[in-house]
Amino acid sequence: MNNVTNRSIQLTAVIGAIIISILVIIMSVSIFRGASTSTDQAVERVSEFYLRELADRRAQVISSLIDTKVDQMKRAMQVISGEDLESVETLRSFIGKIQTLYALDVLALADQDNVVYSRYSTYMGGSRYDFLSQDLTFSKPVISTINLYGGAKHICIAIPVKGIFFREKELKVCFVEIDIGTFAQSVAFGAENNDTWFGLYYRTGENLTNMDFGPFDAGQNLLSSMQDSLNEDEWNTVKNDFETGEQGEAVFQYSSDQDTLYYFPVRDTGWMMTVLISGKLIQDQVSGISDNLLKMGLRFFSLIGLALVVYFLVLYRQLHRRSSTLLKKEQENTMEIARRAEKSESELGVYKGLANKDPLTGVQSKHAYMEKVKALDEEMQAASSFGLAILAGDLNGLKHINDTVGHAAGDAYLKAGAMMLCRLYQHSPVYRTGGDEFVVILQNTDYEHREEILEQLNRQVEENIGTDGVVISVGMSERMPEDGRVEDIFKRADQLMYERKKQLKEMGAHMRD
Amino acid sequence: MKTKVLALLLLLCACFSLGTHAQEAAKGETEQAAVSETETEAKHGSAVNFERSLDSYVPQKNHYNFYFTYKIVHPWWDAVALGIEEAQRQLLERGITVTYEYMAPEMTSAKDQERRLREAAAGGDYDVIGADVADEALITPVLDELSEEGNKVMTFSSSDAADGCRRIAYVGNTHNYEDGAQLTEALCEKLDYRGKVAILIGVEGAPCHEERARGVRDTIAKYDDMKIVDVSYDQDSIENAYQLTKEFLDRFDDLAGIVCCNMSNPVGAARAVKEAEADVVIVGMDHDREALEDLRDGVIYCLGVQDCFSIGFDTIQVAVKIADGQLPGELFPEKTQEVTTLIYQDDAEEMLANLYGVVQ
Repeated sequence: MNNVTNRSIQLTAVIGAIIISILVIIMSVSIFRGASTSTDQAVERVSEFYLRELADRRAQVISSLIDTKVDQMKRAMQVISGEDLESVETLRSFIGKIQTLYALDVLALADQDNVVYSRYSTYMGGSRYDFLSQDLTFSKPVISTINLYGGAKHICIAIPVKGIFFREKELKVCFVEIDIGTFAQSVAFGAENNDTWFGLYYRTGENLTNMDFGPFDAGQNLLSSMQDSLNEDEWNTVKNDFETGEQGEAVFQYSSDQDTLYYFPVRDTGWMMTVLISGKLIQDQVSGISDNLLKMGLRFFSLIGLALVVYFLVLYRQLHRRSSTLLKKEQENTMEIARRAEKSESELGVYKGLANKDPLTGVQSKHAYMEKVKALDEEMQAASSFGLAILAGDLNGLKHINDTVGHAAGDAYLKAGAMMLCRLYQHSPVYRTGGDEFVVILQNTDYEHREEILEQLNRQVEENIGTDGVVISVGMSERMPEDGRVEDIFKRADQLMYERKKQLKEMGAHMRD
Repeated sequence: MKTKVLALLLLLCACFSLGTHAQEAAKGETEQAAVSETETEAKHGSAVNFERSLDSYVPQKNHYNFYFTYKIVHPWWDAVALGIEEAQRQLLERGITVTYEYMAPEMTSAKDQERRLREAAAGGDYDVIGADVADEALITPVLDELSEEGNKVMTFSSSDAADGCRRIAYVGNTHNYEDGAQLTEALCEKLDYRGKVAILIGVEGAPCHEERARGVRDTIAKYDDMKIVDVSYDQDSIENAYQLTKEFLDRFDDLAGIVCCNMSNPVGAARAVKEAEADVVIVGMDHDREALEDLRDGVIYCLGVQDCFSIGFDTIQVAVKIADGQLPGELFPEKTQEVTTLIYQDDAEEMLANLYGVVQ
C-alpha cells in the first residue's frame, strides 16, 4: 500500500511539473503573439500620430518663418524715410541696413515698371519674378520660388507697398529672397535621421528644395515617382490632395521597405510639407522595446519554468525520502510486531505445553488427548485407512491407598502406573484422562507390536497383584473399517477394559471400593 | 574641381579656335568646318558651367559701379544675370563691392537702348557702361560717342557692335551665324536633306537673331531638295511663336521642319506641333525649361545651348579690368567667346537636372 502511494505522489509531482511547464510555454507564446499584434497596431497608430505631429510642427515653423519675414518687411517699409529714397545709393544703403539687421539673404523693392532695387544692383524683374505681373491688390503675402542654375532655388516672399515713391515711380512690392538651403536649415527639415525625411513640394509634385527626400532624388517629381508604387485610386487621391491642398497620407513600397508619406499644406504658400517615414523606424523602435520586454518575459517564464522543475524535483526527492523513511519505519514496526507475535506465540507454546501435560504424572493431559482425538478424527475423515489402536486403562486400588495410606501414596501410585505405561509404550503418547484413567494411542511401531506389548503389560499387572505393585486394567481396540471417529474405537477399548477389571478382581486385585 | 576648371579652359581654347573658324564662316569661308567642330563639343561635358571662379586678377579698387543694358526683358538675360550675380558675390567675398544696373525695355527697342546709354553716361557715375547691342547700326555710333566722351564702354551677351566700334571689349556669343548653321545642318541631316522648312526668328534687327537666320538660310541653300517656305518673327514671345507655328502647319501640310533662332521660338513651336500631333522636326536655341522637357520627350530634335552663366560671369570679370584701365591683351581678349553646344534627346535629362534640378 505504501509503494502505491509513493508512486502516485511521484507521478503527481512529475505530471504537475509537465502540465505547469506546458502552461508556462503556452502563456509565453500567447503573450508573445499578442504582444506582436499589439505592437503592429501601436506602430501604425504611433506612426500616424508621429507623422501628423512632425508635419504639423514643421508646417507651423515654416508659416512662422514666413510671418516673421513679412513682419520684418512691413517694419522696413514703415521706417523707410525720404532720405533713404533720395538716390539709388541711399536706397541701396537702406536696403543693406535692413538686410543686415534681419539677417536676410536678399531684400528688394520693385517699382511699377518692375525695376528691382536691391542692395547691390538694379535690374529688371518682370521675367524673373512671376509675382510682379500679378494683381497688386493682393492682401496676403505672395510666396513663390525662382529657379537658379544647378537646381538651386530661392523662395520669394512678397508684400505689396503703397505710397512710397522712388525716382517718381511708385514702389509696389517689397520682397525677400531666401536661399532654399538656408531656408531648409532654418526650419530644420531634410533628413531628420536615416528613416525620417522632410520635404517641401509644389502642388505639382515638383520638389521645392534641392534636397533628396528619402528614396526620391532632389529633382524627382514626387507624384510621378510614386505613380508606379500606388494603385490608380490611391495615386489619384494623392494627386488630387496635392492639387487641392488637402492633407493626407499614403503607404507605399518604393524600394525594399514600406514607407509612409504624410503631406500637409503649408498655409498661404501653395506648398505641401511632406514627411516620409520608413515603416521600419517606429516598428524597429517599438519592436525593439517589445522584443526586449518579450525577451525579459521569456527569461522570466523560463526562470519560472526552471524554478518549477527544480521545485518539483526537490519536492519529488523530499517526498521520496519521506515515503522511504515512513516505509522503513513501517517495516520496522511490522518486524517488531512480528517479533512480539513470535515471542507471544513462544510463550503460548509454553502455556500450551503446560496445559497438555499432566503435572502429577508428567504424561499428556486430558486436554492434549482431546486435541489429539480432534486431529485423528480429521485424519480419519481424510484417509481411508491407517493403523490406529486405543488402549484404555484404569488404575485399580487408588481409593484404597488414598484412604489407607494417604494421598501422597496415592499420588506415587499414579506416577508408578504412568511410568509403567510409558516404559511399555515408548513410541506412543500416554494420556491421564481422569483421576485414575489413562489412554494410550498406538500408531506406527507400537501399533505393529500392540499385542506383544499388551501381553507383557497384562503379565506384569498380574504379577503385581501379589506384590502390591501397580495394577492397571486395560482394554485395547484397533480401528475398524466402519469406525468414523476415535470415540468409536475408544468405546470398544473401554468395554474391554471393564471386562479385564473384573478378571483382575477375581485374581485378587484391589478395586475402587 | 581642378579637373572641371581644366576642362573649362580646354573648352574655351577649343571655342576660341572654333570662333576663329566661325568668323571666317560668317564671311562665307569654311562654314562647314566650323559646324563640325561645334558639334563635336556637344559630346564634352555640360553645356553650362556653373562652377566658375574668379581668375587671379587683383582688382585695383574696393568698389565698382557698372551699368549694363540689354535688348529685352527675357529669361535668357535673367540667366546671364545669374552669372553676373555670382561674380559679384565672389568679389564681395574678396572685399570688393560691385554695384550695377542691369536694365532693358519690355520690348526690344534700339531707341530705348540709346536713351538708356546716354542717360547712364550723363547722369551715372559708372566705371563701365556695357551694352548688348539691340541694333548694330544704331547703337555702334552711340557707343563710339560715349567712348569719345571718356566713358569706358564694352559690349556683352548676345550681340557685339559693328566692326570698328571703339568699345573696349566684348564678352558673349561671337558665333551666332555658326549657331544657326549648325542647328540647320542637324535638321537637314535628320530630314535626309529634303523637305520644306519654316524659320522662326526673334526680333527683327537683333544681330544675334538675324545672324543665326542668315546661317540657317545659307545652310538650307546648300541642299537642292530643301526649301524655306516661310520666315516669321515672334518678337521674343512664346505666344507669338505658337500662333505662327499653327499658321505654318495650316498652310503647309508637308512641312518637314522648323528652325528656331531664339529662346521663345522652340517653346511656342513645340506647343503647336504637340497640339496638332504633327510630324515636324524642330531645332532651336537656348535652354528654356519647357524646351528642354520637349527635347527630353522627343518633340524637339536638338537645341543650341549658350553658356549664359559664363557670359554674365565673364562680363563682370572683364568689366572690372576695364574699369581698372586695363586693355585687351594678356588679361582678357578683345572678344571673350562663350561656347554654344548642341544637345539632343539623350542630353536633355542631364541638362534639366543641371539647370533646373529636375529629374524625371
